[in-house]
Amino acid sequence: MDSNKKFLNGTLNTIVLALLRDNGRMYGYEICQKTKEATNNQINLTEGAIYPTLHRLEKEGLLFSTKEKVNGRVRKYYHVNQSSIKEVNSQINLLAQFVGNLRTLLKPSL
Amino acid sequence: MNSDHTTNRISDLLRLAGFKDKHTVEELTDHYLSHIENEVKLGVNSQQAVRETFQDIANLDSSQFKVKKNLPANRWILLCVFLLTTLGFFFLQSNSTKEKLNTPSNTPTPLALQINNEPPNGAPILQNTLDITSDFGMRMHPYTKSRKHHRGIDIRAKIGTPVIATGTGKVIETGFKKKPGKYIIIQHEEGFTTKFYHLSEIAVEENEEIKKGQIIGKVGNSGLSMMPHLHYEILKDEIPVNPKEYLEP
Ligand SMILES: [Zn+2]
Repeated sequence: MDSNKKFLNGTLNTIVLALLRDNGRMYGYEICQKTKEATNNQINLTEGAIYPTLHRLEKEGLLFSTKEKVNGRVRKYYHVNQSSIKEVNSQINLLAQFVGNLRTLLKPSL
Repeated sequence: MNSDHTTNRISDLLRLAGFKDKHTVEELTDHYLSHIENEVKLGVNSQQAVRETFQDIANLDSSQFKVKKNLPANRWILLCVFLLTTLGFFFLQSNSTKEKLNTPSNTPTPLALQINNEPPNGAPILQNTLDITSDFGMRMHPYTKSRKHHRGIDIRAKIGTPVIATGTGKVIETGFKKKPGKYIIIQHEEGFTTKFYHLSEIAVEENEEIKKGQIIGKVGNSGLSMMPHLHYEILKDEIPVNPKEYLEP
């Protein structure tokens, strides 16, 4: 799991953006669960990873948030800011491209 | 599960863990309640889910949650100029600065814990000055080299130094285990528990009622210990709190 953490450092922003772009609004815990399910429990996002990332992306204007009452408590939902969708898309595409390149490079040793 | 009680307890624990921003506390409270609900849905006993979640929160490192701002280039230049002009000042004061930097970062005062009339307090050994060699909180484990939450403090002392009870209470457990070595666990009022590890001698028995200041054993080097010291823990409702906050009577 720790090796995952090392790789997540530079890519978590983009992963979060991609999840939000494709799933609409999501809240923090939902993002953690979704990631866990999609990766077969391989990637387990901690609170210390996901929330600072969400807060930073919100500060940078790529995301915005809304609050809702759920089960008697407040839940914060995040959405991709449509005015930044171009930048979001290009970030996601760049990472996808990079991952493709990595795959090609690593293939011989696999 | 009393959900209101759980909600409040989670928020309290988050504040104790150092989260000051109201919105972050609110968001993380929802996170942990969602987690408990999910665990229960998966068939975990709700009390167990709550207990484990409390433990998770107690182990949180709130400093990880600070959002670092990216400074624009011109700000960096200003910052460098500022640093250079203040360097001389710091150079003169370097000794005192070093001392300040070495003291552990301020943990928030556990307000919720102070309203209780008499939590365990004072030094756990009979010695003039306490040589604390390892603080409460995240640290590098001396053996395994992994980052781990240290549930108490380590106080260096000679083998045989008397260990005393820091509050009135009842001995609920004594014995020997591989990691703690010879150990004593004392239960106090208001949900407080104290633990003493690596002893060379145990001077009390299970179920014995003891008074604050009573000698309960002697410092040793038993269990997973690299040098003679006392590992001392204070727990409030099963959750470790920083004993340093309680060393002053
Ligand atoms: Zn220790």
